[in-house]
Amino acid sequence: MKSLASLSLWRIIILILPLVSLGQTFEYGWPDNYDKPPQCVDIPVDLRLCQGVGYHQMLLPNLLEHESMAEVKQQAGSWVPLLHKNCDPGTQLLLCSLFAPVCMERPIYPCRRLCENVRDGCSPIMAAFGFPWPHILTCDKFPQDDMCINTPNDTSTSEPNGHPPVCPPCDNEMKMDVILDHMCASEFAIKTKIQEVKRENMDRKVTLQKKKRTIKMGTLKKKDLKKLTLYLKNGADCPCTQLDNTRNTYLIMGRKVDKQYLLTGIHKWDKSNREFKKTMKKLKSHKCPAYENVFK
Amino acid sequence: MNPCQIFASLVMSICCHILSSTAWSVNNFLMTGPKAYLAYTSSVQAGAQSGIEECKHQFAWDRWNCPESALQLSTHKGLRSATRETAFVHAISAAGVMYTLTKNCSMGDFENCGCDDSKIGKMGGRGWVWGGCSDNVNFGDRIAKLFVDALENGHDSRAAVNLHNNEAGRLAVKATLKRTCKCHGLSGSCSIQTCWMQLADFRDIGSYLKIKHDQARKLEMDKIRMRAGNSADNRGAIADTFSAVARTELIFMEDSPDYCVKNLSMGLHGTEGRECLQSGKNLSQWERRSCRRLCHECGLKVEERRIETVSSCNCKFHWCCTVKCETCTQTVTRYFCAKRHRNRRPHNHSRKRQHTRRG
Repeated sequence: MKSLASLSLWRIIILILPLVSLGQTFEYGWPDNYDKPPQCVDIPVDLRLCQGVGYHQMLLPNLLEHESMAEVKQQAGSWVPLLHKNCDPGTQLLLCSLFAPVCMERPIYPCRRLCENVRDGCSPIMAAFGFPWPHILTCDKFPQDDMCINTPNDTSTSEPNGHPPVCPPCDNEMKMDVILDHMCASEFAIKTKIQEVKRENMDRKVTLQKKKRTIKMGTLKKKDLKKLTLYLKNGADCPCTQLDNTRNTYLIMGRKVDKQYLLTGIHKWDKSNREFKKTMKKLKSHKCPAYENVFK
Repeated sequence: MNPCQIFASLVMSICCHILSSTAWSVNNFLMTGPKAYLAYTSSVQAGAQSGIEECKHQFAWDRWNCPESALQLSTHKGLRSATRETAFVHAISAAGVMYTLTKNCSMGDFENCGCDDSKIGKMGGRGWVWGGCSDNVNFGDRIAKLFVDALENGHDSRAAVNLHNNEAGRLAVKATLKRTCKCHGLSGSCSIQTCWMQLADFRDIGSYLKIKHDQARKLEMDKIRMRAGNSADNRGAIADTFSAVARTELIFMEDSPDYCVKNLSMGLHGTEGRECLQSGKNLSQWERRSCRRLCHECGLKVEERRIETVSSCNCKFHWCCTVKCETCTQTVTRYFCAKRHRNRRPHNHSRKRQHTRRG
């Protein structure tokens, strides 16, 4: 038999909610009788999704069936850009209660209300990037009793702003971490100018100039690059100052969803900006999490 | 537990038997010799134990409830029975051993085995590939067969029945194997999916074998050929009979005794004093009818007892991170089988016996 240095064990946490009578509590327990219980480990400093969440140790495997810390980091990485959007105050708490769950004798799941608040606040932004609310975060499977995690200040209501919200792909801080996170979450990135912007149903259609330089090729092919047209998903009416200015050169990120190329990020190519210059230099050595490597 | 200690000691003696009866080369002996086999014994013991625990659960509300004493007697020669229930015990024990060996293999507890990587990287279906750690059931099957079947050293039909039921238990583990998948695309999407074969919950295997127990077939040996007394003819008769039975089905040779009645020579305690379920939500039909099956149909009456219990309740999670619970006292009604009194006069003394719930 083949001898392997390290082996991982895959398990399914099946969350089945039976029809319970009112007041009867459903106890969440460890999923399998014959598996070792999860271990209590420190939250690593490079698990950036959960820095400053309010506790310092987590269970491994976590509540999303991630077996190794490498898997946790890789899967959590794609959620970091959502934190930058500040779509709901409970976003980090919801995500980390599953990705890096608190160390207790039995697992503590997020409350259904916390999940629903984050979903209602964040799913429109995720939709702008072509992501549906994922199955792993389906809110119906989370508990409604007191044995769950809620936002500490639950009674606060968010006040609506005066101005309409900026288009999510255009609402980006000029900060190295943010740009690199979005770069990793995008499939391709190019340097180019905008030729034309046109409304098309609920979206905005962005036609790019012919002259382009590839920063990150990804899944993009050369023939597709020539006639590339990007869509600002659900972006017909939200403000985007970058698209209004066609004279500037931009760093444009995107990804392909079905047959459409979606705009996922747009930054002015500003060599005079020190942060931008630092980011471009860092980009050459920066390594995104490699998704295929975690799985055999 | 007594049956498992006996089982473990038998396993240890079998190790020596296997080693002494096989011609080992020096290299083979050092690499795969007693150290490798000794590594499996704790898994074999734990697996047999899990089989017994599952047996108790599956038969909790049956007249025969997988009693310890019956299992102990069945390990002695001459007192073995070949009933439908014994068939289940053999199957669930073999399944438990195979299950635990396979699990420990996947968890990296053994040096000379690992995940079943025969499919790694191959296309499985539309949108998913094989990956992860598929449970190596063939390894568990092979080692479990080696250990468990070695307990049968006879050549009569009873030994053949036990070997058949052992195999049926191992096949139940394979039959309940399931494909499990994990989505690991961006933001938890299923654009990238990896699948592997994983053991079902052992509860599912127990339920699968319980159905096999209900459907078990009784062997009718060819009595004319048995009468010849020739051992070669006996083996031929056994082989002919077994070839007609599917390997996945449980078989037995003797009808079950009356499990209502106490029969200490067979290790049976009868149903007097047993707890049963009368009412309550979420009860299955089998559970709801347990009082009728255990008490009324056995000529006993149902005795009601009110018991006060103390438990944690109203637990709350406090940020961050503690769980605080209240203590609640609750009166629950439990039901037990008791003898019917022939005379109509009420008896003076009250029963003080308290029966703890088993399983």
